[in-house]
Amino acid sequence: MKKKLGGMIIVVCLAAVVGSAIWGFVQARGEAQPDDDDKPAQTASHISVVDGTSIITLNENAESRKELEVVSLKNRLRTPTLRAYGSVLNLQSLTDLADKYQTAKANLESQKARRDLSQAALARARGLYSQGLHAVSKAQLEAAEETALVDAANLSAAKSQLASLANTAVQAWGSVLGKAVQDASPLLNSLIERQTVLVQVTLRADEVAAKIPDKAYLRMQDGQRIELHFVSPAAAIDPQIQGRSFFYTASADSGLLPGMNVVASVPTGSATPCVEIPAPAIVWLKGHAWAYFRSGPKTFARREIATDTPARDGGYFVKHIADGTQVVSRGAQMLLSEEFRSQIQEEE
Amino acid sequence: MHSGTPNGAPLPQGPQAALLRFSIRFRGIVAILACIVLGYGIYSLQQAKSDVFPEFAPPQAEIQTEAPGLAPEQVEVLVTQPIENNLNGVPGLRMLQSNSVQGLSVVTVTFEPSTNVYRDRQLVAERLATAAGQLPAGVEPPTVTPLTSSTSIVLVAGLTSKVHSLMDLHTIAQFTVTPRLLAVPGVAKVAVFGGKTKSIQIQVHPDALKRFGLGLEDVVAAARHATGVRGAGVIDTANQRIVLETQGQSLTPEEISRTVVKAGPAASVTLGNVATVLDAPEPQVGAGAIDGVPGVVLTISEQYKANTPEVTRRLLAAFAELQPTLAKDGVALRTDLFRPAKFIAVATGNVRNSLLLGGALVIVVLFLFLFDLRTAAISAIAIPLSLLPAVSVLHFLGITMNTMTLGGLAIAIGIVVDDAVVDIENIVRRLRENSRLAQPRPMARVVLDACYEVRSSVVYATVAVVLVAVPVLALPGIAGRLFAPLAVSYGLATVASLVVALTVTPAFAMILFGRGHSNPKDPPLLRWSRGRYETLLHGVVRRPAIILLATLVVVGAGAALIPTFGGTFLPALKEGHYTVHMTAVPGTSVAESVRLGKIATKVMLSLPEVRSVAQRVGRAELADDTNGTHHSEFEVDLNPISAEDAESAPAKIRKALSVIPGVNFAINTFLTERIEETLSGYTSPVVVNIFGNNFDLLDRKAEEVARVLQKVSGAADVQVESPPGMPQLTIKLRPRDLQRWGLTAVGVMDVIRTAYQGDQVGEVYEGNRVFPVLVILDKASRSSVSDVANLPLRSAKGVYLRLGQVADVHESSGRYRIQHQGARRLQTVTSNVSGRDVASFVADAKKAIARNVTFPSGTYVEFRGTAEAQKRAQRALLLNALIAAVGIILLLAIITRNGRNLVLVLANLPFAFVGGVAAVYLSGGVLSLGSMVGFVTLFGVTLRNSILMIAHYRDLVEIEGQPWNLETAVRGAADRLAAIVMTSLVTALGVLPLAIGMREPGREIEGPMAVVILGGLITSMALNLLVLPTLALRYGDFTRKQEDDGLSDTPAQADAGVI
Repeated sequence: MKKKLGGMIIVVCLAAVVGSAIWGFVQARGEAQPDDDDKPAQTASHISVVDGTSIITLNENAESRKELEVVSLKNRLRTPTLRAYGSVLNLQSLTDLADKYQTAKANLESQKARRDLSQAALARARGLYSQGLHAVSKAQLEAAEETALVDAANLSAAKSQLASLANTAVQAWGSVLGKAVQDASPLLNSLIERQTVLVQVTLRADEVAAKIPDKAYLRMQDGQRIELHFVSPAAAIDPQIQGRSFFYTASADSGLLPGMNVVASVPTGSATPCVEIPAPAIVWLKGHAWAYFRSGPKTFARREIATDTPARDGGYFVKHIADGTQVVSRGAQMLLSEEFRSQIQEEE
Repeated sequence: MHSGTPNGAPLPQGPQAALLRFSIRFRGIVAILACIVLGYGIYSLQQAKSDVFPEFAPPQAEIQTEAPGLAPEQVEVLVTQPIENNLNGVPGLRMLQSNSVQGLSVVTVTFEPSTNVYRDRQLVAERLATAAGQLPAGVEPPTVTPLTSSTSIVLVAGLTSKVHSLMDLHTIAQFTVTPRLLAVPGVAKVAVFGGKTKSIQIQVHPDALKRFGLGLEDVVAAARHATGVRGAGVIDTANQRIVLETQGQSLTPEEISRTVVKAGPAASVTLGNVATVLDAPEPQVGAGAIDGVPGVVLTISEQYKANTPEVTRRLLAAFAELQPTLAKDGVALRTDLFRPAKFIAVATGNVRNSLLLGGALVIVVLFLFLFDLRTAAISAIAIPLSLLPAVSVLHFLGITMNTMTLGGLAIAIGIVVDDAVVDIENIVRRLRENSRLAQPRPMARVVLDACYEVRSSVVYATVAVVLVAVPVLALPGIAGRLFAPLAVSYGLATVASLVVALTVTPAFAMILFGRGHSNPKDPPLLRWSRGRYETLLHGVVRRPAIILLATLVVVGAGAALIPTFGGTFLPALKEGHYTVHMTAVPGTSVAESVRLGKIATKVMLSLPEVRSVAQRVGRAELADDTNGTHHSEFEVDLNPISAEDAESAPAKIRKALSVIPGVNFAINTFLTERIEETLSGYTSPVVVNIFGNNFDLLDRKAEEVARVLQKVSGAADVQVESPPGMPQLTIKLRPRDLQRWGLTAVGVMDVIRTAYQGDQVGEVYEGNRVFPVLVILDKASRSSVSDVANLPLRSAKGVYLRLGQVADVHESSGRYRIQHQGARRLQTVTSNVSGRDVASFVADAKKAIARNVTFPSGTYVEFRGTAEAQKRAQRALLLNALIAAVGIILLLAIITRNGRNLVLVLANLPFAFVGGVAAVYLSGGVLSLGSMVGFVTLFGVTLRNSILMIAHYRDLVEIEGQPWNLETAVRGAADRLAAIVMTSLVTALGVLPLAIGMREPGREIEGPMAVVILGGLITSMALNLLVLPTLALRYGDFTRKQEDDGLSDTPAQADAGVI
């Protein structure tokens, strides 16, 4: 009996050991395979190249398709503009010059009148003297001659003073304002009377405007936009900036005061239609700027964009893009990364 | 029953006999000593430091140098090279590696494992002092990052807030939380990821500079004056020393903005006129998000050899202190993002449970076989008495309790109880035989003789078993550091068990059997099985040819399986936590990485397994990771789930993440990652390094190597490290133009750096918080690529120029990082391997590269990664195993004293391995280092049983005078049956819980080892019980011989003399 029991126990024991060992192996067999945990998954998209353009096709279940944002582009007429520095000029010297010029001009008139009078007096004295009526003594004639000569000399001095002032005006303020000083034109009057202010607009040193624009604009700190009207090229450049310089007038109501330094934008060339690619849409790669354009419901194509016309805030104005073209405005870097995913190195 | 001990034999002599005699005589003292050892062992166990793994990282020093604004190429030449040149040749240097990325140089110095890490770091610090003087202006002094433990991270915490800005959050993290955490003993460093570093910025408007006729350098100079701090000295009076303090430094943005830059005739130009002065974040190098909410992620690293659970506990206490203040402030604190201590608790708990369960099973088996509580108790007491002293010694040596040491103890359970079982089994048998005698001999004498009888087998077998562990102990590199503690704890426990078998077991036998051995009959199980076994053996022994043939067939089949095995270095650990890496193309911004991270976080959190996700983008000051902003790491913590779910979790996470375009994900467990990083610096199993000087050539060759690798079967994700392609804007100054305008190159470069990187001009303080003051361009002016050429420069004559007038500014692409190894440039190709084992892949890849790629002189290729380490480890294991084998054969030769018997034992050994091989095959056919260790242990157990059997035969023939025939062979084998079955079962049951629980966390390494032992023991038992007696009868040589060495009378004394 006891023997049987012992036999049972050893059989049960051995069976248990062997059974559990086999169970352990079977359980473990599946898991001990070489694991491929380090293998990165790659299934979110498909990349193809059509005519040299990379096209990304996102898979149906690509979670972050929802995260992508696109904007429709719309062409707007846009005139290329240059950024320039404006300073509202103090016109005291111009006013003084204008005053002087007018005084000199009046002086010239009076000198002219005096000379005319003395010429007339001299002619009369000569006539009387030549008739020998002794109504005029030789001394008197000589006095009249002298007066006439002095007056003529004075006239010519006044003339040259006027001419000199005119030259000064042209030298200091350019031909247009110089002429205005001579003519006391409404342009000058409005400046002197502070109906308008004069703004010297200087381009950056190495920038050239294709043609001098009739209008330019100032943006005040409060966002107010002020229109400037072309007067003339400036007579001298701003030595600190060294770029081409122009005179513009602006309405004095705008709040511009002499001494103010402002930033101006100067339109150059004619308006052409172009779209603005916003900064978040732009990715840089291999030295060029690119954007992803939607080419189908799930496909996006990377195209290079020209960067010669920067917009404010880092975007660019680009020509020759159709209205309604959709550009990826959020997630561009993600698409770029997706395109080059095969080159991404796992790293620590 | 045959009578055993010859009556009236001389009293055994020699040191072993003396020890036995002492133990039997002073059994009370031995018992008390045993109690003391037990008590001290329990005390040590409570004091022991725990960790998951031993410190596996080699002595290392990492030098980080911040070089604000420098491009990777500049960092390499100007910062990394001088540092490398100074460090090269430091005594004990093993490897010098460096990475140069934008704004940061990282040099890693690895020392020989035998050196002292503190001395190494001291040497590095000394050399760095010289290097610091050679660095360009603006580069911060090199810092050696704090020494951390191998696993480094002890806790990851997060701060988020609904009311505070990211900048405020960073300030709170930096000045409130971090100092408290650094005060916690055991914390080495705290890296603050994310949030925004507060600074006071003087953001200059370039247009305003022109309008007021100022240059950027004027602003910098004025700002420096505004924030400068000067000491004022003291006044010494006759009685006192009075300290002067000057106040008036500008501390707030308002005060700074009132600083005069230029005094004009009418009005002065102030900083406020040309710049906006405000609190603003410094340029970001990283970011953080917790469960998708932007915030601050704190990664806390522990000190070298810190006690992880203890540090974690203290940290949590510190957080508990901070919690109320933070909560009042509207800041939410998360401390459960990642705690390695959690895994340590689970893993060590699991291994401990395995140990306890194994121990319990062992006691049950002992009781079943010996059928006597006292016998079972004596054998069982050997377990704690062997293991606890081992724990004490480990503690004394400063080795932590980790999965490896616990694993060593687990394997040792089988062995340690063996010694006691062999001993006690013989004692009990002899006592039984003695009690059947008409005139029983004194009990003490019977016990002494019984112990003495088996002592040579016990001693030699134990020495052999310890020798077997030597190859593991001598493993090189990280494998050695990982597995050596396992061998140490195993060896210690084994040696302790030998001492126990020679002292405690006889002493306790005397104490417990002192009142007489009541049952003269064999235990029922033993009786029954002995009868069955003798019948079986009779049948078997008569057919040696069949047995021989069967053995050969089985061994042959086993050998045939081996080539099908693959190899892996370490199995995946089930930590319930994953580190997910997300990599986009280099150059991806912080904002975009955060946005992509938010998507990934949402995807991961939607899985039921995932509990929390914390994202770290880029890098942080002093952090372990020095990634670019295109790289993120996620700490993904799982809910408490079953082992099966945990196993499928990474696949599920990977599948879920695969729908996110634009980024690559790699998932690793934290520890696996740390180990793989330490091995190669890369997480890929195959790393091909190409060295050379010319970047373009290196790139070309790397491409070629990558193409060749791709064609090798099994290659997956072949990648060229750091491909060119980081967007870069090159500003190339034109010397002629500089000359024309009277500018200097350095002056222009200073202006560019101030404008885009910011120039720190001073510090302001707010209470105890210190913030830097930066001069930088306003945000609008520095955000557009096309505006760079418009940066205003002021010439010596006061003329304003655009940068474009003196420099060519063009977009290009640059390298994201430049790597050095041993101060040489290198390009790296990495590859994963799928569908085949790494080792054979590397062999094929080497051949293919040698055939298809030509390397010009000065350029050469090298393989690294886990594959290389594994190969090295295996080669070393093989060599050391050979050395150990020679030692063991010599030992065997002493025991067998006979060439034929020696050959008999050795020839039979392969048979034992067949079970192990079959077990490996059944459990997936992958040889890991764990299973190799298993084979080594198996070898030891089998060897012991073979030795015991052969020695017993010899005793039967030489001492008891039996003729060497069938009867003797069967009787001898039957005598050993109990011992062999018991020791095998005991060992098997000891590791059985480990094998069954190989899916549970913490048993990933010991599991395969236990499976090998378990499988091997089945064949080993068959070998010892059936094959060995059969072959011994047929080929063995146990004829009685005259001792002819003339040195001793009995073989016993010859044995004793050896020890």
